[in-house]
Amino acid sequence: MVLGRLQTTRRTSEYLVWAACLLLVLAAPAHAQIAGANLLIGQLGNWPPSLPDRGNPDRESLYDRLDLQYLSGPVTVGARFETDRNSDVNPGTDPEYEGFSRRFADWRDDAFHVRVGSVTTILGRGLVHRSFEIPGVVLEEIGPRTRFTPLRDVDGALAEWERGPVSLRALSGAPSDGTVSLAKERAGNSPRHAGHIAGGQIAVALPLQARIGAAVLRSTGGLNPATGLPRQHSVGTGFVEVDPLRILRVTAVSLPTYVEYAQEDRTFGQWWSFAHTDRTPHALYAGTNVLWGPVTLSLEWKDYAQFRLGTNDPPSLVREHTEVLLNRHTHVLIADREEGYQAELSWAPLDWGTLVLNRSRSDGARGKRFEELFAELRFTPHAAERWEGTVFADRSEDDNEGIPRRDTHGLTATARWARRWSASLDVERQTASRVGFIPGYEDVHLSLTASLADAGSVGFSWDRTTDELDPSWEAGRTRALQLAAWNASARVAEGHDAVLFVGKRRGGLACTAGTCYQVQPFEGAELRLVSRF
Amino acid sequence: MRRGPRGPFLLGGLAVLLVLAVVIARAAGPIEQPPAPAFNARDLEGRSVSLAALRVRGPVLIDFWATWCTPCRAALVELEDWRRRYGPRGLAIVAVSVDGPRNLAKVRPYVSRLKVGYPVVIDDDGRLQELYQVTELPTAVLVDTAGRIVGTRVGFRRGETALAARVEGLLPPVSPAGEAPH
Repeated sequence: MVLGRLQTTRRTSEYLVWAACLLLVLAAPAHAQIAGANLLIGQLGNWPPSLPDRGNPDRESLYDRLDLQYLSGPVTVGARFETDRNSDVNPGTDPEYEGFSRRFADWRDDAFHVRVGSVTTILGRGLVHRSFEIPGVVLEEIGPRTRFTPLRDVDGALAEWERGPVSLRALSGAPSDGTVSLAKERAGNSPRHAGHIAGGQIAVALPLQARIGAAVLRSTGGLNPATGLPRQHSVGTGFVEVDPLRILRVTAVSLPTYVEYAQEDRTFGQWWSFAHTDRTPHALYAGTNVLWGPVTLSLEWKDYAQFRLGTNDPPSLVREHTEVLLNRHTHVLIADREEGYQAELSWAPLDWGTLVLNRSRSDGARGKRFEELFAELRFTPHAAERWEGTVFADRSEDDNEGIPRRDTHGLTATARWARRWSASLDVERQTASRVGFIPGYEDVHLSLTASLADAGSVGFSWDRTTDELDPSWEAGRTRALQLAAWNASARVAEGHDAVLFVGKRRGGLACTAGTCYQVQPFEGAELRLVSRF
Repeated sequence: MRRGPRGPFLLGGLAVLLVLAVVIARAAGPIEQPPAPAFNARDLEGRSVSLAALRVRGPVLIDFWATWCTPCRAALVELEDWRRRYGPRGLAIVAVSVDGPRNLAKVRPYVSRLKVGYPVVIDDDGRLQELYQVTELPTAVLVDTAGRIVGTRVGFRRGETALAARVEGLLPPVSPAGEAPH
């Protein structure tokens, strides 16, 4: 009976929250200080039959994320309400949840900015700290099966001040690694925010667009694996941004350059020694561009050792591919030990074509290497008025994945007619060999999409794989796995976009905005509704 | 163990929500829009870019993009066309790159390749993205001279006219001589 009362109370409070949200949405036009965005995802389907151990394969779920901001002069107050309802019942844990996953209050004027609550920011280029959110990404937890928006924020306070050439930034709070949902937190498995960090940054703008700065960050949380004692450490970094050619008054070529060097648990005097042995936790990043008419070159170099801090995000220096088959095999940075470079050259001699060449290499611990060579030729005749196309080829080696050779090539083409109509084709093929007893594989991806501007699009995609490590591969399968899907998108009204997916979605690694995550395989129908008001 | 056949109810609920969203959005008609959050940033050339200063001259279009976003490229190219067409009539365009540390080094070469003439700002700490509640890329936000968000375009398909029509509506009409009145 008590349980029943509790459930009734919970349901009532849930309805009250929803009613309040609805009222806010309806009231927004009247007050005009409230801005909001809502993401609703409904799924009806199942997990692939190859994963029966994950529970009942048939499931329905409804996820909603509502972001509201109240703006009044220099003040902004914001909150995020997330909920996931699904048909699963796990013994001991409730995979359903609802609640506020983000709250903040913000005040800013021309020189000063203060925020309390959920904070996202960056120090330097992220070598010592970066808190962020990946746009448009919703993840699915495997334990208590539930969906949530990954948010790697700091629950605390941020203060920023800028006057003339000097800018200061200070933050303090409990960090989150962005992998824990409200459901998991409530189940008592792990808190979303744990430990404590405190740090700051000073940067000074110099003449000729040069900039120099330094940042420090102290953190506590977790256990030191060597001593078993609570972990506490501090990191310091210094950076400089300069265009040496600008100083030399050269105008035909630009050479904007950025260098940052960080160390952990060292004194200021030791920091200046620029130690870069594996025994000294350090991170060195340098990047430069050469901009010379139709030729542009991007060069980056990294040297990281024992620098996986949990709250940092050093540049990985691997190309972020938009091609489907390349994206799912992106090399994920191992900041414990990695040294390497990335060079990207582009040449656009004429208005109708661009050549891009990318070469990257990362040498990790125990001689493990990732190496990639990518080439792309893009055609855009007559400003792509009637058609445009891209062909690409890629060759890579990834010792971390046990792949001595992987070849990928493909093409994309878009044709346009009658001003508003277009059709796009994407064809990709990848072959790879593997070391050991696991055989190599062949992947093929095909997608075809027809679009009408201002209205929407309809598309079909087909994937075929012989990869035995694919998440949807059943034990004992001997034939290639095929996954087909239809999708349609429509702008149902201004500020409201809907996307419908029906079919099979391939699971595995996916990367967005420089961050990689695991996508769970899915079979069924999914409706995604994005609203802004 | 399942809680019962909720599938049809779920789908039915979704369908009802969708229909309600369309009906409410269409029936509501023109509504007063929320204010555009103020910002002050530096472009790739080191120049100060502030919303308050830009909207003195006319409406402002803020386009959020990233180097890894395929449709963003076409959107940026179209905006360069808009800069030439609507710029003399008062429209200001700002492109906000939301590339993180991983791709920051590629922003300048990318912009240089596209030969865009409007300012490009790097939102390295994600502040602008959050202020404008950008969850999909590209997202274009149109701000009028009063500082209100009067139009938003999420995603991009070439040939779209809705946002262009809204921009046209905010600009002074072209005089018979082909020039905007001063």
